[in-house]
Amino acid sequence: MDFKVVTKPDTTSIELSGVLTFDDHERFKAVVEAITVAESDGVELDLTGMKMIDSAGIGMLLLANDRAGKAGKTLALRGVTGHVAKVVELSKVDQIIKVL
Amino acid sequence: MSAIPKFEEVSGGRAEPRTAFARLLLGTIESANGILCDTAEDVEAQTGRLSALFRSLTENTDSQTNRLGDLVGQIASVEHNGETIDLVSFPTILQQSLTEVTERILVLSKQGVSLIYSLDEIIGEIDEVNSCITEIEAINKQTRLLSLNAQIEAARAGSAGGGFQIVSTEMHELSRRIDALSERMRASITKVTESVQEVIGSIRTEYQELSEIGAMDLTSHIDAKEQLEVLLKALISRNESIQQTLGDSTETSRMIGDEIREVVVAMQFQDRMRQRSDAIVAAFGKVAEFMETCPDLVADEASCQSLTTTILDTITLSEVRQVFARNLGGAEAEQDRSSPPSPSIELF
Repeated sequence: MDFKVVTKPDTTSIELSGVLTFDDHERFKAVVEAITVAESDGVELDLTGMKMIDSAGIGMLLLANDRAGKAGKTLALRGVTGHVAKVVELSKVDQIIKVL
Repeated sequence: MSAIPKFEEVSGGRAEPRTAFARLLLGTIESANGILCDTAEDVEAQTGRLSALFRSLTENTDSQTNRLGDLVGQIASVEHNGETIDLVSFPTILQQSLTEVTERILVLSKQGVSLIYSLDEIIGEIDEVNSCITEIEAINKQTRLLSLNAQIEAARAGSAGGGFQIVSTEMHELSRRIDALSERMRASITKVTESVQEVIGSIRTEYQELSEIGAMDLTSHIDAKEQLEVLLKALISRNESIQQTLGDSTETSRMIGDEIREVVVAMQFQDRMRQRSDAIVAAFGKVAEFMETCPDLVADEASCQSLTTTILDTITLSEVRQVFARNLGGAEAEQDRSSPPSPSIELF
């Protein structure tokens, strides 16, 4: 997994790419950190470049959402398509994290 | 309905007719009477049989429809622990189970990652504690050197340095105890670190095992969910098709039953035919009786008029009586009749 933080006037977008599995949990810490220190209240995780995500990856998204809530941020997902969309629908993550 | 007696029964034995025409007429009337009676009985018997067969057909059609309904009900559900479960609900139940399993996996995944993050933070703190111990050991090492130097200086001072000698010795002892304490702390921290690393290793192993059985990437779950959705749609479609077919069958059976009942009702008109034939037989009987008993009066106007009245009185079915009255010249007398015909004869 790779990520890039893009700061916009009213929101912070974090673009994730590659695959998000358990092996990425160390690297995902930096994503969580970027979410909690974002200047804007709204933070978007752009998953357009994400090819595959497993249950650990979904767990990390839920964890990021919890940490964002504790930091007073609102997390949302964007660019959810393909395999990622199926997993998101199956896991009903869209009922917990807003999907744009 | 009482049967109309045949001519032989009412004549009570016949006298020899006087003319050939009278014999011919008598024979003709007697033959027609017999044939009419036999025909009426045959028609009645066959009609009764047909009615019974149609009634049986109606009952069998209704039974078949009920059995078909029962069969469809049995196909669409199963009994389990005394509870009837609709087959259509099976995929939904399986989907719910799949969803529950998926939710639990996600909860475990989230908790697992969260636990690892917490353990990582603990390891970070342990590293900090280790740094502190290293710092303490360095300070303690310097303290120990200071105490040794103090002891040397105290020995040089001789008796004047006796008190200082005691203090430096205590400092050395204190330094030794700090060393021992640092050693114990490092040993404990090493054990804690090893335990935390072991927990992280276990979690990693669990994740790898979950990945091996396909639980982690959820691909098998997605496939199962899609297959269940296809199965559910197919079952619902089949159920609707069966219900439609059953509804059509029931409607067809109802229509067949109605039509058979209409046929049975229509066949009751046989009764009217029987009444008509009985009326004709009775009229023929009166004529035959007249010719048998009063052959000399066949040309007598008054006797024939009396016979006409007798014949019309004998016929109780109004429509037949009207036909006879019109043809026998008793129409005027027929119009004077005010009393309605007997209901027991008219109605069937």
